Amino acid sequence: MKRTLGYQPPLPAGLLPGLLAGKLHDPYGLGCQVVSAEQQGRYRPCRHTAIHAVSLYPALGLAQFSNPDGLALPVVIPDHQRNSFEREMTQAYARRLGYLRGRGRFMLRLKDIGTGRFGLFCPHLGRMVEGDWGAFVTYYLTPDLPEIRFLQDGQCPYTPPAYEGEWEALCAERDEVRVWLGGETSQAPSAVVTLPQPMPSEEAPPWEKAYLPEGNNALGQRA
Amino acid sequence: MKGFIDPYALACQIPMVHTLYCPHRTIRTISWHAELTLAQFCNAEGLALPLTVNPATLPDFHNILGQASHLAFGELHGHGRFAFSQRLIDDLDKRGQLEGFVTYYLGPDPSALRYQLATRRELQTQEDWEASRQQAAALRHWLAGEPPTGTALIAIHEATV
Repeated sequence: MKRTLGYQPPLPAGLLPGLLAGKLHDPYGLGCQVVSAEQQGRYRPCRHTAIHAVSLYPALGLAQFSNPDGLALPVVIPDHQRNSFEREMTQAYARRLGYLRGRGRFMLRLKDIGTGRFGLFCPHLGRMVEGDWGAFVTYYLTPDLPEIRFLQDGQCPYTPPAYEGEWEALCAERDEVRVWLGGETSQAPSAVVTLPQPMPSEEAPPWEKAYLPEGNNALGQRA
Repeated sequence: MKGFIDPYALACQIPMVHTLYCPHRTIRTISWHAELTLAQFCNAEGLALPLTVNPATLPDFHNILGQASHLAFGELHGHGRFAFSQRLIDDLDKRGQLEGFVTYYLGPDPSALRYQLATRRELQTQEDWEASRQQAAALRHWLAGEPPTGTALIAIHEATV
């Protein structure tokens, strides 16, 4: 199985996207990215996978990214990048103290236990840990500007009509991602494709053969 | 600031002469347990600040401690939303490790400092001044773990001191 999406997001540009480059992990390969306020060129980011805000709970190492519509995105901060990521948050456009933003399939599953506190199962510790709702902070990584244009806004940014159909197909594909992020369906985006499996009779390609010692199989066992 | 991490971007700072001063986010004390590498930062009111020691820059943190005006041995300061939990304090007490804290006092006596959130050029009107005071007061309530006084966005460029 190989997960491929037709739409490849443009390289991020601008100060904050550059600072956060390499500090985030997008395990589903959805192309989640911080959108630059200064858009250049004809490429437009996808609205559904644009990182608009991140809610952090630094003491527990919790982070929830969300898109402009408030859907939580499956983006994580690698442990070794956490300190430097938090340091870059001084560059955020705005912040809201005591606020957790995001909903949908990838939202944090927190249990409200009353008196302003929540519980969360911590797999590393193997037990529930408690937190304070008021200790969340939400940073806004993209300015709330009407000038920011997304792939889904307006019409095809490429010269019509040659790319019109392709653009519509991309929008349809990204819309499936939005539905999936919202948890409205168990159906995964159709862009997940299965690679053709080689037939048993097919010979291994020469570059794979070269690594097999004479007379051994792929596991290094004597045949 | 080198030596500690400010994950909430509150612009917490160690007190310095001739700099803008906000009592709620200026570090007055650091209670440090060297053996357990536990640190609790507090402002002049004693409210714990959400700061952590950066293990990668421990020498810088030690430099900050070296600037202390005086010390208090066996004392752990701090209360409010970000203070150590009572369960942790009880646990340390049971194991006799609470005495290992040393509290370092930084900067001059807070009563000698005047509140100053921004430069005069940035606060041109009485309303600007009042807004900055209200924002600082909201921060104080939040640190204390009291009910929020407002949920409005706090823009970073307005909150930096």
